[in-house]
Amino acid sequence: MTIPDFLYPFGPLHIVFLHLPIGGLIAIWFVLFVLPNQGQKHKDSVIGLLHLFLVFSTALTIILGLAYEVYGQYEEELELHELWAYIFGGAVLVNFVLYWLHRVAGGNKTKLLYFLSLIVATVAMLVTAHQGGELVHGKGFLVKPFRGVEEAPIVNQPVAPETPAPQVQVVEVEKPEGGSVEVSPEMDDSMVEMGDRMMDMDMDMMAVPTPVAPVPEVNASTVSNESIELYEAAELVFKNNCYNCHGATKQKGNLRLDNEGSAFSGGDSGPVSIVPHDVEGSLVVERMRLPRDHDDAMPPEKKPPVSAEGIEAVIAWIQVGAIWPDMRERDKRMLKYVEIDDEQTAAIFEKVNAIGAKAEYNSWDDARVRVDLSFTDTGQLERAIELINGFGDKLIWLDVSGRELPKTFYKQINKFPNLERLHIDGTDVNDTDLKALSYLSKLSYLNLFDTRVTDDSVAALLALPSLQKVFLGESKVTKAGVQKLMKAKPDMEVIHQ
Amino acid sequence: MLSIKKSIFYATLTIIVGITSTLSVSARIFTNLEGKTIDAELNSFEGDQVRFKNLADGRIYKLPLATLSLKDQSFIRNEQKAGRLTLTGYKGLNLPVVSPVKKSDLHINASQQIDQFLAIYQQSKGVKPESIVDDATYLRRAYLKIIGRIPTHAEAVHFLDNATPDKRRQLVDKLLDSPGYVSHNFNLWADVLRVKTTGREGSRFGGIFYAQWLKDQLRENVPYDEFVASLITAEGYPWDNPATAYYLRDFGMPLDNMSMTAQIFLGTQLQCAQCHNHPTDKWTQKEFYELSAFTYGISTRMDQKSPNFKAQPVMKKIQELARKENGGKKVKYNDNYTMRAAKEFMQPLQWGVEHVQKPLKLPHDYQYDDSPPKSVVEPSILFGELDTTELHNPTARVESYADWMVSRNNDRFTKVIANRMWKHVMGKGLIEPVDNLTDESLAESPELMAFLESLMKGVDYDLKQYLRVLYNTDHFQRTAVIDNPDLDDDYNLEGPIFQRMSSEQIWDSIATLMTPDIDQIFQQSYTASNQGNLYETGKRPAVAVFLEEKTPAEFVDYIKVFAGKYKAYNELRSDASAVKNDPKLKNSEEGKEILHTYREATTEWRAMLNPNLDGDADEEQMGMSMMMSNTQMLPERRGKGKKFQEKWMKGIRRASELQSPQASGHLLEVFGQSDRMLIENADDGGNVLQALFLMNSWQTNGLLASNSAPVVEARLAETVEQKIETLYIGFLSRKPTQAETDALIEYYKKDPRKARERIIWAMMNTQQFLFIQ
Amino acid sequence: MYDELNQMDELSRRKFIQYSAKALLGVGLSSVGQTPMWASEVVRKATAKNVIYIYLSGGMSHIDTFDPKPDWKDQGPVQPIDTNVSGIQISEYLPSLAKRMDKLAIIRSMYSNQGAHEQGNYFMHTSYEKRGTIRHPGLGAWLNSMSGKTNSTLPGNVRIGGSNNAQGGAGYLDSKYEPLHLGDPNAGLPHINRYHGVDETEMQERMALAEMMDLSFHQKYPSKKVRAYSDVYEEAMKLMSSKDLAAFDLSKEPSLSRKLYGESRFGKSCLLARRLVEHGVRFVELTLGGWDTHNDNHDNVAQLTNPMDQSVSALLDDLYYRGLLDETLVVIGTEFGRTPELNANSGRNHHPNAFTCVLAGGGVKGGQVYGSTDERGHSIAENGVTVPNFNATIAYALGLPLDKVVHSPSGRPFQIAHKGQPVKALF
Repeated sequence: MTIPDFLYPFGPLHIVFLHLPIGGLIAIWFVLFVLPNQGQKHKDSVIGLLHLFLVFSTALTIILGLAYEVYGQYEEELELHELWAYIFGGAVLVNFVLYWLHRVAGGNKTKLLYFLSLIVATVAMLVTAHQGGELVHGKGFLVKPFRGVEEAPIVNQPVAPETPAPQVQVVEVEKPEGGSVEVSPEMDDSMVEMGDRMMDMDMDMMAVPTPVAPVPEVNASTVSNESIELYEAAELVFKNNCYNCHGATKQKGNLRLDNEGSAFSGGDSGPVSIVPHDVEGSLVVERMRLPRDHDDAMPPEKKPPVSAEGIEAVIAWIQVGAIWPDMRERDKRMLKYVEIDDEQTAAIFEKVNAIGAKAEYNSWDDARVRVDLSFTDTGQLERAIELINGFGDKLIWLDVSGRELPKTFYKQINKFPNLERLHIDGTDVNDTDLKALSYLSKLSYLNLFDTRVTDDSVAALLALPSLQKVFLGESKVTKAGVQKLMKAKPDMEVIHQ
Repeated sequence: MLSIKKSIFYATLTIIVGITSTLSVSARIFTNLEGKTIDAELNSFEGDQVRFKNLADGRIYKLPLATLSLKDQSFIRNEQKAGRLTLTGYKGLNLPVVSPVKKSDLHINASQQIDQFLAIYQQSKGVKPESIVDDATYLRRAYLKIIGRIPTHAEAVHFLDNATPDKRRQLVDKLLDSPGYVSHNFNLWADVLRVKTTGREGSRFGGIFYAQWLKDQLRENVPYDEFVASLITAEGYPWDNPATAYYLRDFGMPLDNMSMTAQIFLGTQLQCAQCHNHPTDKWTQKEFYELSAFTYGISTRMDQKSPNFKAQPVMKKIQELARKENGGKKVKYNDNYTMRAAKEFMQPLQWGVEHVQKPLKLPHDYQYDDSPPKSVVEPSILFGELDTTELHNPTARVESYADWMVSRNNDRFTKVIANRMWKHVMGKGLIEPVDNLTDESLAESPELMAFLESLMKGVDYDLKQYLRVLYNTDHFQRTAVIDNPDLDDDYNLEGPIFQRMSSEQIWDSIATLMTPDIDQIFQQSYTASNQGNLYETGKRPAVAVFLEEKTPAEFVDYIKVFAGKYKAYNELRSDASAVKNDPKLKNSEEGKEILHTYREATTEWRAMLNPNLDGDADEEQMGMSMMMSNTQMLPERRGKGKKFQEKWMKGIRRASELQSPQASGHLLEVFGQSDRMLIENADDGGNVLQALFLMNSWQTNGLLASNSAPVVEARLAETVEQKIETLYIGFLSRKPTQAETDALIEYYKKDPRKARERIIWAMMNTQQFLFIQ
Repeated sequence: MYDELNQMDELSRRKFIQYSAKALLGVGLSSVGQTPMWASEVVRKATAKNVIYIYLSGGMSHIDTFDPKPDWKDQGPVQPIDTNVSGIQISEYLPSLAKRMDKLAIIRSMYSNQGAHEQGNYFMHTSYEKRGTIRHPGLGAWLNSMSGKTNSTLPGNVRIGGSNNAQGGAGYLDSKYEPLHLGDPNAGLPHINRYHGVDETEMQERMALAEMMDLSFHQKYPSKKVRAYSDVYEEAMKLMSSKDLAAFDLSKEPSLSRKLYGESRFGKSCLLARRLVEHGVRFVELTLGGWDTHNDNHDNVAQLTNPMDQSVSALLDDLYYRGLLDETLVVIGTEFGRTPELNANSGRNHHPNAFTCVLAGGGVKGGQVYGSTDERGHSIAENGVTVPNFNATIAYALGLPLDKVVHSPSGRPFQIAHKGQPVKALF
């Protein structure tokens, strides 16, 4: 049965108008049996009017009901109510006809029929009305006042206390290692129990409770990174659990959660769906926390509930103000591992990498440089070495393993005072060359694997102040030499066969 | 040169005639010196006159042998030498019959209907259909898509010069009836069913029987529903019923096997539901187990205790014997050679399929409330209805399961195969992926999908007929469309999908270039061995034969002798290995002696483990001729290089006639043949190894450049233009453009050989060689 | 701008950095020499340059290898043994690795949600669940696309053994990041040399000719797949001209080290892996199959661990003495564990709820066990590690920007380890 569109907005009036037929019917009973039986004529006309009123109000109520169903995006949950409404309507019509039959013919038989139909209509009304009541006030609303207020435990999903709560995160700003992903045991067990839920939970959920990097004010972005992280976590929960009915396609109860505007303006239950900083006041949380059998519980009993972590995520997000960043801000966040670059270094990179060597920043956020010359194109090595001189004190890691080095190499090595790591394994380095390294006061790692250095170099090695790790495998250094080295510097790691 | 001939001779020892062979005369395209071709049956050969029956007009022609191309001359001579071609007639190649497709015109209308549906769809999407391709492009696509290889030079010329209006339709029918159809479709199903002829799956789990059987099914064009039913209800030993390999393939993994069945035939992926309710589809873990309950009673390991286990009496006797040997005391299996030997000998009997009474229980960690963990599950289907009368009889249960699966009322079953075959022809299913349908998945054009389903039912699941309808659509003849996997729905069925050739198509095409009659070379039998036991297609293992032919007493006597050999071998083994590890002893006289006796002992017990029951070595029949005809002048090479070349030449057969899957490093693997580990695991991506092969291999630079069929043809052509054209047609199935001829002709005049090598190298390294336009 | 980020290589990375610097801080080239203004938590100094990823396909039984459960009824014949790190025990199937425990970090608390081989394998390699609509890149492709090759002439991504069409290739990234697959470690690189009689110029001539023949074809079909082939040829040419081809040739290796690695195919693969890494191949994956022990679990596991124990030990030593272990992360991964309960065929079935993976070198602290399972190895007892977190840990060691969003050609946003968080406790 289709309803003209213009009616839809009036749907909600159903709640008001449905009381008319109820009233009407009660009135009929009242007039028929309660009023003293005097002035039949007078009485008839009243009842006649009441019957007419009953028919029309019923029709109106039903139509509005149907409109409301469409308007409020309701579905299966209403079917029964709808059916009974039709029954009631039918009963009312029959009753109306029989009434007139009785008034015209006026025999005892017709009277009996009339009263019967009146009873039927009344019963139908009771049923229909009760259902309506339950839909509006919730199951068992009649006895509700007599039930105690019950707790809101989250069924078989213990909230992991050790899951760092967002407030903690803010505190944690000083100690970044708070950012480990250790998943607390409780949480894990519950997950294994939760079996299937875990399965269809996007893996992101695991990462949700994880605190993220503290980011200083320097951040040019108007929205801090963790609030974006929090938003994304919460948004994910909404996506998995809510958008089906409160999204672009459907807006049950006129609630739409998938964009900033509508999410905060709420739905039929008032503009309190999400109240920034106020977890208790935010209806989304309240509904998620309700016991599963509660008829306001969200998502509805039929659908899988939001996991403990999910709810935590939403709470966390609301606590810090339910910030809803726009796309631009979210993208900016992606650039947070920005690294400062300088033209000169860049130019050298370009040149060095062009001849098969590899020069790169020590990391995405560290302007110092590491260079690997061991794969430089043949004949290009001298050039490469020349080029990297430009790095000067930026160079901390140099690898020239397996190459035939020009004799000048060790003469200019002092151009790199900050060198921490040097690979000259597989080269023709000898004891004299090694002495040249004495300038490298920061050198902590030295690879001499497969070289011709002998015990004579031990002294040179000991002369290196910060040396912590030296590789002597397949070199000419003897056991004795190694012993000497280790005795002199017990904490130095000497790797040899 | 001679030794090459020899090697090819040996190569062809194995190459002949499939199992279900009946006498048939093979038609063939003959080329004369002018390059004219006739599609004819060889009739007889007397003096220098050859008699043909022209298939086009059915008239008999008589031609002097000299007028035929060298290739055909040598072919005919070889046939004569082989004694198949006499004064009076031609015995023909003893080829298995490919059951011909019904040439009904009714179904041609269906082709037109399909095009109408497509037209409507395209209008609705506001797109124009692609244009119909020219003959050359069509030719190549038709051959690749129907029989999985490029056309030979002769075939190409024959088609291109043919003037009859409905020659495309004729070609479709001809190809559908050729052996190539079997090869091509075998590759499809071997990929889907993960058919292996190697390893345990190949040997003890019956893969070598399975592969040949699968080819027979295609050759006889068994209706799809029957085919599937025979897989699902299979029972017995693989050598008696190769279909059992379908279950043995997943030995010890009944639940996984069931998932595969559902994925392949119902296009439903249930794997996830094995451990928990399906996250993205509607299936529950309960439903998974309920469905598995049907096939859970299908045991892949024969119950040796059961009274109807054939070898029971023999085993009993042997146990008694062993006990006697042990002075009446109970014997431990390991310290009695008779028993160990017996076990060795009877191994093959362990692996077969039988339907037993085995209730399926829910896992111990079952987590849902609908039933307790470890509770027994009753079989129940996912959808539709099923005759539940005798679900408790193991065999009846499987049969009713099969009935439900292949029932005409099971829309899913029909939808999946109709869609899969559409993809097979057009390159992309109307629903993708073809084996992961859900209730939500919607076809590109639901109307068309519905029609295809009704068509599939209409032809009674005769896949060949169904394919014939698709091949005869205009759609199949349209220019290929690029489908970018990264952009969803930018494809609106304007034409078939532009694809790289499958690994098999590439290999088979290269094989065709070397051996034009490639389709007539068959793998007669695969052999594979597992723990000493030899398995061979068409034969039953010795133990199975003995149980039929020997009395238990005789059998036991045999085992006694065998046990002796077995003992000797085992005792010598340790000494031998000792010698091997000691270089000094190794070279000493006694060391040599020990190794010698050890080798003898080995051969002896092996011989008794796998006795040759039908003493005949397969005598060579044909195929040789094919190879000879174009491998006359292989480049002379010595030593390792030559060995390798010979080996490679032996391996020139269609992918379907080689082991499955190919060893890693083989061209088939390099170009992405499925490893048969997962359903449809083939890959059509490019990689460096492919490029390296095409650029630097002996095959492209030497073999193809100087010995391929087109080169042989080109030698006959007079003018340079003709030579170039011949090469183009041979390799790319198209004539060169004017520009190309002009560019090449100069080269050719300067240094013909170098030019030829260059051109062929270049053609092999074009992308148009690898892609289907 | 994001399309640009997709094919970000070493050079354009800096270009991007300049953009972002401007975009974010209003600083650009002006801020020469400034020290970084903050360190992002998820991106840090690379401790590893290379990865040798040993993938045990089929699902390694954790309780029979790195996570023994002596008191569990279905543990079967295998016993735990002490390692050279007191307090840590592993299975007796791994005697040599036990002697090198001080180099290993065992993660006993891996868990996945993928119980089937194909899906599990895909998830393990890409951190994403298998979807019909997109193919995700593997770590090797990520590494090479984000921080470039070390050796410009060799492929940056090699896969030894296993099948050609294994999971976790280039995905939607450029096909040039597709791993080079070597089926047989002994075979070296087939057809790497020009055919005799074909010199450089002739090669050019031939290439040009092929180009000509394909002219109209290329115009007609500007398909990604076709273009991929031109890339492939380019790569192949580079490779042919490489001076480091010796890396692929095992015969160049002294017989001693050959012996140490063992004669098994897997042993040779490990040796080849070391040679490749030595020559600047950044990501090498080895496959050791056959772990799907549904039948006779213990016999099979014993057989499988035999070569693994010897060869991986040899590999670790070799890398260690050469100083390569410091910059090479050795990973032992698998798609899932196996059920603690033995099935009817005395085998173990798939078990994604709990399994074990191992890391060594590349800055990872050796001699530690991270996370644990319950008394029978059925479920995680503490510190569960998801598959994305595991991959994030590898990417973290390589200094890759975990939080960087890369958009697929279809514009869908992805991250290296699918938002996985690194297990920093391991470093």
